Order: sequence, then C-alpha cells, then structure tokens
Amino acid sequence: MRTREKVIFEHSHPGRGAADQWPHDPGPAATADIPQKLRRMRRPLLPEVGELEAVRHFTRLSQLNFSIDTHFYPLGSCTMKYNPKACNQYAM
Amino acid sequence: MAFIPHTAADVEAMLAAIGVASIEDLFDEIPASLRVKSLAGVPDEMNEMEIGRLMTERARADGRPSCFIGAGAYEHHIPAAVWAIATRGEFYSAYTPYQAEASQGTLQVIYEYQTMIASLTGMQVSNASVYDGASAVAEASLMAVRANRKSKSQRILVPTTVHPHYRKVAIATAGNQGLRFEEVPYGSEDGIISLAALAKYENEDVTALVIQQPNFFGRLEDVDALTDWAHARGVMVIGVVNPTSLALLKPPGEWGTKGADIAVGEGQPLGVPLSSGGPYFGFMTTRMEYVRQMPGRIVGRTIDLNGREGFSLTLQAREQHIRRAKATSNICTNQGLLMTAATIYMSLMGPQGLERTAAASHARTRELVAALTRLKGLRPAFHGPGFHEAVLLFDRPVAPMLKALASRGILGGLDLAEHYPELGPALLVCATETKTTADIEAYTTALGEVMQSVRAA
Repeated sequence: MRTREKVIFEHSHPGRGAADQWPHDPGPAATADIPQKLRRMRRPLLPEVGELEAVRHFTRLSQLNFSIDTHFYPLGSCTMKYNPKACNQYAM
Repeated sequence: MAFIPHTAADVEAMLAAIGVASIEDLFDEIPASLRVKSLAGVPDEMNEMEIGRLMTERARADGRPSCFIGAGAYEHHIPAAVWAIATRGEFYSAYTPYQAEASQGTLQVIYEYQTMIASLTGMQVSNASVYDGASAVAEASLMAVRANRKSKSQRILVPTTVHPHYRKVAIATAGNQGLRFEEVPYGSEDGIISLAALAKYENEDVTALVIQQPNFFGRLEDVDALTDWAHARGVMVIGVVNPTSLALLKPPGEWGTKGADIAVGEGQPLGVPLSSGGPYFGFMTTRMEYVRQMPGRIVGRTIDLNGREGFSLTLQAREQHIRRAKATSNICTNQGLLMTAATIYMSLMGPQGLERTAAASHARTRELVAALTRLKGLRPAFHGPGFHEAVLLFDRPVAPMLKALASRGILGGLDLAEHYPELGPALLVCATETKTTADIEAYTTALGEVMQSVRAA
C-alpha cells in the first residue's frame, strides 16, 4: 500500500486549471461596479491543476484511509455501520 | 432492507460461543414493562427496488424549478469529479480521523482544506470545519468571549444585516451561556451598517462586532471603517463571508488596518448541492494568537517516530479530551464529507475558476435586476455596490406572486416580509453562473404576467 501522497500544492503549476469546469469569463466590465477598496488585491493560494491531476491526487488520498468498505473498523460504534449503497444513491 | 447478513446457523454458532440460549436473552435486563412487541405506524419492510420507486416518486414532487433564491445557499455548477471522488467508499465510509494511522487520506484532505480556506479568507489558521454557517457564528461569538480578555460584558453586536437565521441560531446556542446579542440597525437608503448607528456603543464595553460581507441584502459593507472602529475600542471583529465572493472581495484578514479576528461562513457554495437545505458545512478561521480558543479540531503536518511525514489531529480541546467546562466547544464534529467535496471543488476551480464563478454570478444578478426592474411596480431597495444578490421593493404583496411563479416552475426569491417587515413588500433575489439570459428572460416574462393578477396595495 502507498503510504504517502504529495500535498496538492506540490502538484500545482501556475496558470494550469480544469478550465472546462469553469464558467465563461464575463470580462472585467462585469464586476466594474465593485469599488476598488472592497476588492481583493492578490489571488488566493488555491491549487492550479488539471482535472486528471486532481482526480488522481484525491483518489490516492482515499486509498490511504481505512474505511468500512475496505477494512474491519472497530472504532466509532456510534456511526460506523455499513449502509446499503442505495441509501447513498438516494441521498444524492 | 436487511443490514445483517447472518444465517440462522451463524446466529446459533455465535450464541453458542458466548453461552447464551437466544437473542432475546441478550436483552433480559430490560424489564418486560419497558419493551414493545410491535411498532405501530411503522410500515412493513420494503426491498431496494420498492424503496427506489418510492424515492423517485417523492423526488419528482420537487420538480426541477429554476431557482432565483440565494439567502445563504447558492446554486453553483459542481464539476462531476467532485462527488465522483467524494462518494468513493474509502472517503464516505471512513470514520472521523481519530486514529491517525488509519486515516492519513482524510487527514491530508483536511490539511489541504485548511490551507485553502485560510488563504481564501486571508486568515492565519482554519479549523477542520463546523456544522454550518449559522452554528459557525454562534461558535465564533463564544470564542470571542474567551479570546477578548479585556472585555467583561459578553456583549456581541449583531447588525440586522447579518442573516436572520444566523442571528437566531447564535441566540439559541449562546444566549443561555451568558452572551447578550444586540441588534444594530441598517441605513434605510443604503442597506448597510452605518458608523452613526454604532455611535451609542462608543464608550461601552463590547466584546465583538459581527460583520457579514456581502450582507444579507447582498450589499457591501464598509468593512475597513467598521473593523477599524471596532479595534479602536477593544472590540473584536467576527467576519461572516461568502467563500465564492472572496475570489473578488477583500478577504477578512485584510479588513481595516489589522484585519478581522475571526472569519466564518457557510461552505455550501464550494461544491455542495442545495439538497433541500442540507447537510452543509461551516468554515472557521482566526489569527494564530487565538488558535487555542478556536473550537473544533485542526489537522497538523508532522514527522512520526520513524522520521516519516504524516498528518494528525491536534488542538482539539473538546469535552471528550478535557473537562467539559474547559472545552472550547461541545459540538466539535467536523463535516468531513462536505469538507472533502469542498477541497476537491476548490482544487478544480483554482484561483481563476473561482474568480470566474464569482464574476459570472455577479454579472447574472446585475442582468436579472436590470431585466426585472424594466417591469412597472418594483424597484431596487438600496443604492450602492453589492455582490450577486439584491433586494427589490414591490407595490403589491410578494407571497401570492411567489406562489404563482412556483406553479410555473420558478422559485422567484425570498420574501422578506417575515424578517424585515419594515421594508414593506420586498423580495431578495439572486442569480449565479448557472442562470442563462433565457432563464432570466423567462423569469421576467412570468413575473410580468403574475403581477397582473396580484392587485397593487
């Protein structure tokens, strides 16, 4: 079993992104009514990765977990009961 | 549906192994008078196919309306990968990550989540999430009382521009723990808190001021002036923010000269579906100096005994670990699965995608307000800048119009009559990037027709 996965920021490349998952850019005029003093000046530190990179990263992380679906899990008697998959399907 | 797969032979073998004659005997310590033989009103069991049919029928009753309601819960596009990954059994059937060696995946997700949220809010430290935006405000108020050692009053100023449900939950949660929540009115022209309204607190002992940005009306508060006013008087600042808006708006960590002391909000816009009102998650951030007063739990990056890097829960002063009265909170469960979805969402959006989502939502709301105000009988309630939500005032009652719109498959907005009767007939509307020009035109046409059937007051 894999024991480590880089943090997602280590996968990040400036300018990269899952662009097809984004809305179209409405252009700067769309937000021109927001006064300068109420605006953000520096972009937040969020990952810049493509969809496949994100999917692989989080899939690998999931594989570092013990879970009811993969292992016997004697912790957490209050919540750790198997739920039929249909329950999840209907909840979504 | 059966949750227990054991055959009669399995059961017998287990009973034999522990020396018990029957399953009934396992319950013999419960007096017969307290036991029930049957559950009246509970229908017979159904199998998966039958339940599936029932659930589909119930879901159909909701329809697929075109939604123009915001008011704290926002419909955004959720990339397919978000829930495809979040619903992997390894994530959703994992227990809360108490045992670090069995939970490295979830712990790293939380660590990444905390990093993203702290950066988005411009704050130094984030916890692993709390129940929702409303409970986050309650927890932030309790935290401010612990952190603001100079203030003895336990008075929290909560302007009426803060979400009415958040105010109610804060009072319900903390009102009986000695905290006093005092309302501050908004300006009737601009719909924001004015410094003049705060003047009466000039020389009073106040623990914290809550500032929602954008506020409940979608208006932008003068966060710099409010934050500096508070800090000049020893009042802590609790920012309540919409995470999508932070791609465009000044983060609470940069409000005024010093920045907000605590920043919280509803995390739902980050990849969580509207889902009939929940479950959602709240986020909570602060400065490093107050980290020990923050409720919930924080995940840290560390080195194990063998020198390998790993992640573990840290700073979780909850009632299970320390004396109840000393706990930072007694509700410390984080919303693990929703936080996981949000982390994947933020990773797919990145700084550019989130900025586009915020800008497109804002643009659509402007388009919506421009289209609706072409109709006679309504006008914007307030002047001044806003973000992706707006209040409209009508010359006729709002409730019957909303009812008529709903029958046409349009959720037209939130009627403000209950929470803001002083506005008269008023509607809070919102459009996100999910709405097209055609959706907006369809709403405008429908509203125009519906208004004909409701007489002006």
